[in-house]
Amino acid sequence: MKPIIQVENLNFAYKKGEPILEDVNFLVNNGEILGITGSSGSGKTTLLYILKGIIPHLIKGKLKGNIIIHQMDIKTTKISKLAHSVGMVFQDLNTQLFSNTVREEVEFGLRNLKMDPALANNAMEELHISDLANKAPLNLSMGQKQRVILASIIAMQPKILLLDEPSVHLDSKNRIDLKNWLLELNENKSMTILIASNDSWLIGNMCNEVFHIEGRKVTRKSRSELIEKQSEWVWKNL
Amino acid sequence: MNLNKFSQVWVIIWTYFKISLVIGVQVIVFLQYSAFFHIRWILLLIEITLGFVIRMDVRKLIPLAKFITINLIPIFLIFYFVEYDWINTLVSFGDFIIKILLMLLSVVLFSETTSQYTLLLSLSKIGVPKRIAFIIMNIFSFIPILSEELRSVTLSQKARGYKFRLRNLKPILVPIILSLLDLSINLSISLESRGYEL
Repeated sequence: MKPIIQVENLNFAYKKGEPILEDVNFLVNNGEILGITGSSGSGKTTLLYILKGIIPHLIKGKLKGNIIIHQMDIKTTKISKLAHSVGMVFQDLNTQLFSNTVREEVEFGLRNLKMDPALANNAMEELHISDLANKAPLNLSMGQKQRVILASIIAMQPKILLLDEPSVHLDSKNRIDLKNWLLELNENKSMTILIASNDSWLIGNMCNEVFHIEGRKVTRKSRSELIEKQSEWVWKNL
Repeated sequence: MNLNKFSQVWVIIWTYFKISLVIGVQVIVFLQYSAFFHIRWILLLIEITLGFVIRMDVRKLIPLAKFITINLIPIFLIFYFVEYDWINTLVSFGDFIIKILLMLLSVVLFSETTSQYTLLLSLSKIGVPKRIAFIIMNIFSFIPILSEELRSVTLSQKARGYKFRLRNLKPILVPIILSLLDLSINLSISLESRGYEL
């Protein structure tokens, strides 16, 4: 089976002489759930931006290496083309919402990709926001906003889902729901999921393996290995 | 709402009709014909009834109303320094308020009845560049975002002991400008990652 994400010799720096990531090599197979951990400021979001193609196209920086996602080279493919196969949920909630109603927000991506807008109904039902369909997204609570954004991404049915700190605004019940939805998506649609988070509960319950970023290097570690090394990562058993 | 090719055309034509109506209202207000002086009340009444017909949410007008009120106070003083007579000032000021209401209500009615995506579609059909269509689309959702941002920034600065003074606006202005810049960048990234080509 061909790996869905292929990263070779990745080097990145926002400014010359201040490298963020050095010599990064990894492969991700189809249908894996992986966490991305590391202390804040270590480059979790940067790595996700590179995988989504935002970094060479929208945010400038010194990027070297081969990054191939779903048989597309990041450096030559437009972000709007990548939207078919890579969906990303960003950290800041308010900056992703702009429509008058929740339904328009979920249909926006589908219309851009010329998919059937009726797919929005399924996504809204999956995330239990059908009753909010005619409300304004700006007036919702944080947890509801998060679910609206997740629905708008999931509706496009991407192959790879990138989540940047998905659980910061959620309460414990919503966190358990989020975990269950993600596991369901992974099982039913064999979606590859990458979660950048410092939420030890979410990562510990979802991912068997983790990309740990430390000192500009990305290493693939199993969950037990990380628990042994870092005492602050105390995880409940499944 | 599943638009097929045929009904999509009608939606776009309807949007053009609405855009031309809105521009028409602005032109009538600016040209100041004497005929306009007699029909302005009728126009205002028509707009208010239209607002009732589409069951507009009045709460959406509150941030707009605040914004206008803050701006009207200095304008009232300017009118006074032109006329130097309180009664004449009130008359011309009332005239001014009616004009402003006419213009603003027409724009608000338009934004209430048009979805963002239809606006984008109809603008790009007549060859407006996508970047400019993006700006026009965001004008309508900008004022509520601005007022929300203003509220949260003022609250957080007051929590740290800030007192509102006209000559000490820096603690409010700097975070707002920075967060708006941040918002525009992140919004464009988010749109592009959902398949919109900028």
